[in-house]
Formats: sequence, C-alpha cells, structure tokens
Amino acid sequence: MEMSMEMKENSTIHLAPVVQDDAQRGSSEVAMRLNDVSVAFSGKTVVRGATFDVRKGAVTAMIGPSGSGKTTLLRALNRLHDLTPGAEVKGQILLGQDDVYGGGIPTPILRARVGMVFQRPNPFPTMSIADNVTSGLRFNGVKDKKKLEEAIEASLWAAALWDSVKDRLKAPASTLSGGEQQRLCIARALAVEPDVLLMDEPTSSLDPISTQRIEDLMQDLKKIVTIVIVTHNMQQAARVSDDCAFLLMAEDRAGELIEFAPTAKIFNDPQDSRTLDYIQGRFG
Amino acid sequence: MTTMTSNMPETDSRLDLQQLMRQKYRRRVIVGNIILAFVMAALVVALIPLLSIVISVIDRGSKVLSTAFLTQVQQDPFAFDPYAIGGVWNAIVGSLVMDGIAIGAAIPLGIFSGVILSDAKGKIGTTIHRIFDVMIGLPSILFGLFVFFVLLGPVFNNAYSGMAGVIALTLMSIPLIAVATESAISAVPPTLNEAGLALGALPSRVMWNIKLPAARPAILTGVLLALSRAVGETAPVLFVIGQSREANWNPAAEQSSLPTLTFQYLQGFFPSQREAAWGIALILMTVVFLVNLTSRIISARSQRG
Ligand SMILES: Nc1ncnc2c1ncn2[C@@H]1O[C@H](COP(=O)(O)OP(=O)(O)O)[C@@H](O)[C@H]1O
Ligand SMILES: [Mg+2]
Repeated sequence: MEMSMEMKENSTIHLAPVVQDDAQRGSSEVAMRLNDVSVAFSGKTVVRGATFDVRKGAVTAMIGPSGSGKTTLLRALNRLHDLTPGAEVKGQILLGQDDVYGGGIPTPILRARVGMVFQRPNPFPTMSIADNVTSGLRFNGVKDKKKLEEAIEASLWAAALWDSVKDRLKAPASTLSGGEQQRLCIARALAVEPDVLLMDEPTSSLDPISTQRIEDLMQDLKKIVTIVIVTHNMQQAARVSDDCAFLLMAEDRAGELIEFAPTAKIFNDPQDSRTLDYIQGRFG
Repeated sequence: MTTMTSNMPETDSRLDLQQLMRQKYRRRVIVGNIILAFVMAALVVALIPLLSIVISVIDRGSKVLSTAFLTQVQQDPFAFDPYAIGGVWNAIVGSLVMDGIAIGAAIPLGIFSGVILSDAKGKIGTTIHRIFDVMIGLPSILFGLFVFFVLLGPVFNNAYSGMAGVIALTLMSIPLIAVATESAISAVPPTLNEAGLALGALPSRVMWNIKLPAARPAILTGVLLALSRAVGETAPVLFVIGQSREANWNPAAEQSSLPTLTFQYLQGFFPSQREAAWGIALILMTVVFLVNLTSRIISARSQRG
C-alpha cells in the first residue's frame, strides 16, 4: 500500500497534495509547547532543535523520513524515555502551564493527561474489550462502577467502535480485527479524558479501509482532544493535520526540525527547499 | 513470468550449471538418507531403555495396584506377612500433605521472588539470578542435608517431622518457580508495559494487572514443573520426615511419602516389598504424567487464546 502510494507520488502527482487552507482549524491556544527539545541515547543525539507549539484542538503531524527521530520526539512528550536507561531529554516541554521535565507534574499524572496510541495495536490480551477501555481509569484509582460503565460507552462511541462491539463487551480484546484493536486502543486512551493524544503511525500496520476509518475518526476526535500524530505517509499528514512539523536527518544523522508551519503552508508553499524536496518525493 | 524467461538467453554456462546441480542432486539425496538413518538408529537406542522402564512399571505395577493397595496403610513390621503386599495409604497422605503445603508456600514466595528478580536491574539482580540458577542445579540431597543438620535440632528438637520435609521441598521449589516467573514476565511484550504506563499506571500496577496476568500460563507451567519434581523427590525428605506407618494428615507429625517408601521397600528383605515398590512407581509415574499433561494443556490453550 505504501509502495503504490510512493509510486503515485513519483509518477502521477508531481506537485505536493493540495491542502485547502480552510482545513486548518483549532484554536490559537497552546496545548503543548516544545522549546529547543533534543533527545539523546547514551550521549548520542537522535533528535534536536524541536521548537514548536501544539495548538489546542488541532491535529499536529510530525513527518519526515524513517529514522529522522519522529517517534523519539513523540515519546519525549509523555516521558516514555524514562524507561530507557541512558536516555536524556533536554530543552523544555510545557503541558499547559506545567513543565513536563521540570518536576511540575508527577509522571503518571502527566501520562494520564497525555495519552498515547502506538504503532501496532496493543490491547491488553488478558482483558475483555470493556476492561481494556476502563483500564486507564482503574489504574488511576477510579472505582466508581457508574463512572466506569459510562466511560465504556462514551469512549467506544468516540472511537467509532461502539456499534460493532456493544454486544460482545465481555469478549477478549484479541477477538477483534487489527483495525478494531487499534480503535480499541484509541478508546482506551480516550477513557481517561486526556488533554493531548499522541499517535505514532497509528495506521501503519492496518489495511487501507481501517486506515481510512481512523483518519475519518481523527476529524471527530480533535473536537475533544488535541492530537499529535507521527506519520511517514505525507498524504496522510496532508489529509488529517492542521499543523505540520518536518524533521530530517542532519549530517551527523541526528534528526532536526526543518520546518514547522500550518499544513497548508508546508504543502503549498514550504519555506525550506528540503521540505519541498521531501513533499515532492525526491527523497525519503 | 513467461515473458521474463523468454528474454533470458540459453547460455552454455547456465546449462552447465543446471547439469551440475542435477548430478549433485542424487548425491545429496543419498547423503541425506544416510544421515536420517543414523539419527533414527540413535533415537531407537535412546528409546529402548526408556520404553522398557515405562512398560515394566506399567506391567509390574498394575499387578500390585488394587483398592486395598491404595487405601490400606503399610504393614506393621511386628505382624508382617511376607506374602502380603499391604498398602501405601500412609505414603499417599504424606505426599499429598507435604507436597501440597510445600508448593502452596513456594508459589507466593517463588512468584514474589520472580517479580523482584524481573524488576531488579544491574548487579544485585544478576547475582540473585545466579544464586537461583545454582540452587536449581544443586543435587536435591543438599536440601535434605541442610534441613537435617541445620534445622532439625534447633527448630524441630531433633524429632522427625513432615514440616522439616516441607521446608526442604519448599526451598527446592522456590528457585524453580522464581526463575519461571522471571522469564515469563520478561517474555511479555514491552509494548504492553508501555501501554500501561502511558495510561498513567504506576509500574507496580502494570506488573500486577498486565504483566503477571499475561505471564500466568508460563508461570503455571513452572509451578507444575516444580510440583512434579517435588512429588518425585526422595533425597530432600528422606532423613528428616521419619517413617510413619500411619496415615497422618498432620504435617508436623512423623511422615511418610511415596518416594521414600519406595526407597524403604527397595531395601526390604521380602519379595512382596519389592513388588509393592513397583506399585508405588506406577502411582508416581501416573501423577507426573498427569501433571505434565495439565501443563501441556495450559500452554496449548494460552497459545490459542
Ligand atoms: N532506545 C533507543 N536507543 C538508541 N537509539 C535509539 C533508540 N530509539 C531510537 N533510536 C534511534 O533514533 C533514531 C530515530 O529513531 P525514531 O525516532 O524511531 O525515528 P522515526 O520514528 O522517525 O523513524 C534511529 O536512528 C534509532 O536507531
Ligand atoms: Mg517511528
């Protein structure tokens, strides 16, 4: 699928996908602010110089070739690098007013406010569909039955999964298809009502129809949650995002933020020649 | 496909190569068959003694096995009838009581140790891991030796006790369960850990609610392995539990067990005692077989699910 897309880019679409300016929504309020963020593993810098604002209610895409540090930068936002010995995040990341790495907010609380959907669907295999949805609430100490029940329906609705699973909520999550599992993971992340939802190539392991569903879903989701999505599929970025961060490897193979702008601007009138080369499919 | 090949020239070198591969083919088949024959022969050599053990246990054991054999206690030595087999109920009860308590105690202790082991990073973690590995490899008689010399005096007032055997069996089982738990936990995909933490869960919560449930089938297999080992062990309990001829549900009393009674009977003077040993062997073999079967069913089911 990716292949055919790339070929299309090179053969038929010579210009970058046209993005309508009015696709840009979201407020000017800032949900997260990155200030010269860099990440290093055991002293080796993998991504650096990321400075941009994630606008509230918008979809912000991070694009760039494989290895340009998109995943690494995304995982800095919910402190998942804390798990990796030798990982070091520098610079400043703000969630609202809270300094993410400045001790302003306990990490588990941060992670409840900044949810994540991973590259491959990873529902908890020993839990039912319903228990997967409520797991985040239960982990965070919510015990109220009524609240949990409500969250099941509301989150599955929001993830466009309610109708297909409402009659088998007690079934193991593993009985769902790949696309449904990924939407279950979205529902699971939404249940704790996060401010921001991080999505790391959420459709890369899915078929085109499931991909389409999730892309459609994102347009509804951004009414309730700010989204940051990593994708190496430019068409996807053009379709779903309002703002776009383009990352590229520098000479020393560390990823750098080349350009950050509204998606329409990135695709129609990029300021950096490297951005233009990338969106026209000349490399990466 | 056809258009592809039709574009390719029929060069001499290609024909030569194909000819060569054709000649070599016959040789490869012959060599392969010879190797297969050797492997089969080795297999037969290994299987014959194994099978003959199983067959003679079933054959001779089944001649002894009866309701009376299972439900009566062993014969009183002062009223011993050398032509009667007697029973093994006392040893069955002893094994049930001691193995049950030992595994019951080793499960939480072993799983807790395994959890700590999987969390412990760096030097301490690897050191504990090494110690457990060594303990698993220790000859089981060392556990009996330890309890006999170190614990029997101070703890049990030099009196034989089933509890002394329980301690030996528990000590032997803990590292087995701990290492099984540790490897089961580390086999849980890291992305599940990340998913849990990304929801705001504390690491301990992720351990109990995500990792351990996902690891449960493999942990259970480890527990059953420890159980089947404990059921069959003679050495750890031989010196410390005494030789009770009565069925004792009280674990602290002098006890008997199936393997130790086998040992006793093998030393016995009368042919009837040796016959009884075959009967016990059949019981033990059946139990171990069933435990194995259970663990197979568990792991097969977990792979399906
Ligand atoms: N835990 C890690 N330790 C060391 N290097 C890492 C680690 N994670 C990622 N990297 C390196 O960082 C670079 C960027 O990776 P990544 O962020 O996954 O790129 P992208 O998501 O853009 O494809 C790669 O060269 C990768 O090898
Ligand atoms: Mg990536």
